Amino acid sequence: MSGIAGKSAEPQQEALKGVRDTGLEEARLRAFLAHTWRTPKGLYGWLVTVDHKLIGRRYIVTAFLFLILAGLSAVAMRFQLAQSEAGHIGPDLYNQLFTMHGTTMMFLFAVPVMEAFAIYLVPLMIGTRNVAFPRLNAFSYWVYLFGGLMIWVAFAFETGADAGWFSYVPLAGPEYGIGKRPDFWAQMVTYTEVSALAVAVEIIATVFKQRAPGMSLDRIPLYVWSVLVTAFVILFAMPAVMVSSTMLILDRLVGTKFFDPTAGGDALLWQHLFWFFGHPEVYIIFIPATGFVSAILPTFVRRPVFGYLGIVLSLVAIGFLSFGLWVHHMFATGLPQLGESFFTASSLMIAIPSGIQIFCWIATIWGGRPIFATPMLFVLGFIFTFVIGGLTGVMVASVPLDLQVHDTYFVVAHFHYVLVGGAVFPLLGAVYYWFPKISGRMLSERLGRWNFWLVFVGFNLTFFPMHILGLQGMPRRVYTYPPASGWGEMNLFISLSSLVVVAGFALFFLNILLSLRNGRIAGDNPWRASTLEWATTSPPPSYDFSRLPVVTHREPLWAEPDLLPVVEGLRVDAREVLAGTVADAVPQLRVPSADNSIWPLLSAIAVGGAFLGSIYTPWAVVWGAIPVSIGFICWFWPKGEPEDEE
Amino acid sequence: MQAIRTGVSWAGLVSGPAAWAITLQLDYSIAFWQCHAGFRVTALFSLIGAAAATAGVLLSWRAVRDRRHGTSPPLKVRARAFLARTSVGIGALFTLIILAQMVAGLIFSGCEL
Repeated sequence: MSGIAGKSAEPQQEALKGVRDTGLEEARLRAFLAHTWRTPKGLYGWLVTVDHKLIGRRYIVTAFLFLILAGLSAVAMRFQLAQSEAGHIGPDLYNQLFTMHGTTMMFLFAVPVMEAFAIYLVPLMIGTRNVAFPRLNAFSYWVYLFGGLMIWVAFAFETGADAGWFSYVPLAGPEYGIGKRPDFWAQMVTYTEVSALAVAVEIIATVFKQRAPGMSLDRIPLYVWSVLVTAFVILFAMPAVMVSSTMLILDRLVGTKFFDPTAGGDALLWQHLFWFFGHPEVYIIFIPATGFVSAILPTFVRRPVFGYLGIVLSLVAIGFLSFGLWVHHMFATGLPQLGESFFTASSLMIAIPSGIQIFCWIATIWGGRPIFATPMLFVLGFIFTFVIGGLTGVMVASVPLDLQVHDTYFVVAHFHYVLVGGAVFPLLGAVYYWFPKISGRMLSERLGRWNFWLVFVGFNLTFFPMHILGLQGMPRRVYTYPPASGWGEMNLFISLSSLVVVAGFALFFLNILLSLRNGRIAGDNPWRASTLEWATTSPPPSYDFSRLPVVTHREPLWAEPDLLPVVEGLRVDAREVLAGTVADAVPQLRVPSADNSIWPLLSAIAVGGAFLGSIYTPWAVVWGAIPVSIGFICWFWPKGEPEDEE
Repeated sequence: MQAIRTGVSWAGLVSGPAAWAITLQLDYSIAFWQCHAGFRVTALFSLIGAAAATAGVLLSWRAVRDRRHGTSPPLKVRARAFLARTSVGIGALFTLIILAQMVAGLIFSGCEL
């Protein structure tokens, strides 16, 4: 072993054979692990990597690029609506713009970016070296990317989806759906949901089986709890929309009649299936955001979060309850009042677990010494904004009020308060909080404060007046309105205010670009936070931790500030992680972790090709199955690597 | 019997959401039928659901109170107690939600359009 004593940064595989980390000197251990867990350099490495941090990072960047596209769509819409009877954008393009805005924000930005953070952070926060099923992780990214590119390329070629982000039939059905527009929408759903389901499976397996020894259920970081609950919600909600979008394609492509009432189908079936997914979708976005808040808050008030049990309980309860609210999106469809009232009851009651969380956070701030750094500002902005969105949510959960404001700007205001206030504010806070860990550099606090205030003030100036517009009767999804309506001045005010939000986001991206180059070096734990991701270097090495930590406390870095206890005995010549019991995280066995591979990418190309082809012909499913099968067989084929030998 | 004596840590976690999901689906499906039946059958189902959820809460509560840990390692005991407390809370919350549903079934006859 002395022959490999670290003078070379690239130890030979033969020399490493059989070496374990037990008693190994730290520098040599790091050199060995860096070799075993490395991603090859260059384009090939970029294509084959299964490192959760690299994949998480590229997920985050891609999701924010889609945010920019969706944001620009919104700016275009506000440009059109700034005046009554403006002629900048015609009705057809306007339909495509609001559909692409909603679709992109929900399917290509909000859900993926939440999953992206989970992919990056969960292994670090629970003290392991990679997610479970790392190649599936790589596959999920490529499928997501292809789905997003497909729908935006279609938009560029005048085939942008135009039936709203929920693509209601019969508007999207064979009777009224123009050309291939609804098909691209429906197939984009298939891509992104395959991707989301893959990530959900990884997260569940990772959190259940790969937690550091000692991290029993009551010591799991609240952020990890939140993504675990989210993963389960994804697992049970996404299939509904995949099934319904496939049924829509079948109606349009091969003439089935699932949604055609004249042939025994049911148009309302679409709404039931869509909203059975669509309402949990809101919580798929919101629950991880509450996890961000629960992670950021203790660091900036210098005390553990108040009511850990209450917050976990609320997260799990919200996860379950999210499946029982979908009919409140359908109050105007003529369902029996008794049936609707059950969903009113559930919709009102979800305020209880949400309220418990809010009270726990307020109590945490109350009992601590707040430091008003940028992440904390976004958390406070979240609490203020989300409470307003929650209150209007309780209002529209009531059938009589919902019927009055249905399809008006009141609803637009409500869900932007919930989604931007409830998810984007914590997300921006999360970027400021974890950017030092991801990049090794601090973001500028000065730009951060400007960023926060511009977004916060701009957001409220933009969306609060929409409540009033809605109460005055302005409908959603109209490309223009008559001067006599009296909505012109408020629309102009809203459009001008939206520019403040744009300026805020421009500062956000500028801050990131400048800080990547010139930001202050962060160090391992610049915020003096308590969770495990701050125990490793910034940015973390390919193997995350040189030795896996042992957890003795819910706030491990505050309980053991000098040196964390660690586990020994893992191989350094092969990728290995530790698997333990679900409840108490007692180590059970060492498990191989998959190495880099090109096959997830090639399989994703095959799957993407089959999905794309099936927009035009059902035979694409048959012929597409051949390359997909080849891809998967090669992916899973035993390679004679160390993991296969033991 | 052993389960009743020592409690079941996850009982409320399962019974609350399961009873709520079943009663919600059942009540929603028979909302039209209640009008013809002439009695508040949805409220009755909700009451049964609330009772089932409460039974789970009580079982989990027993697990919270149970002090007979024998030779179980401390981490296992901690995890079980945590799960039991969470189950009590979730079961209780879902009992409340089912009761709110029941109130709706008492107010509306099912004949309203």
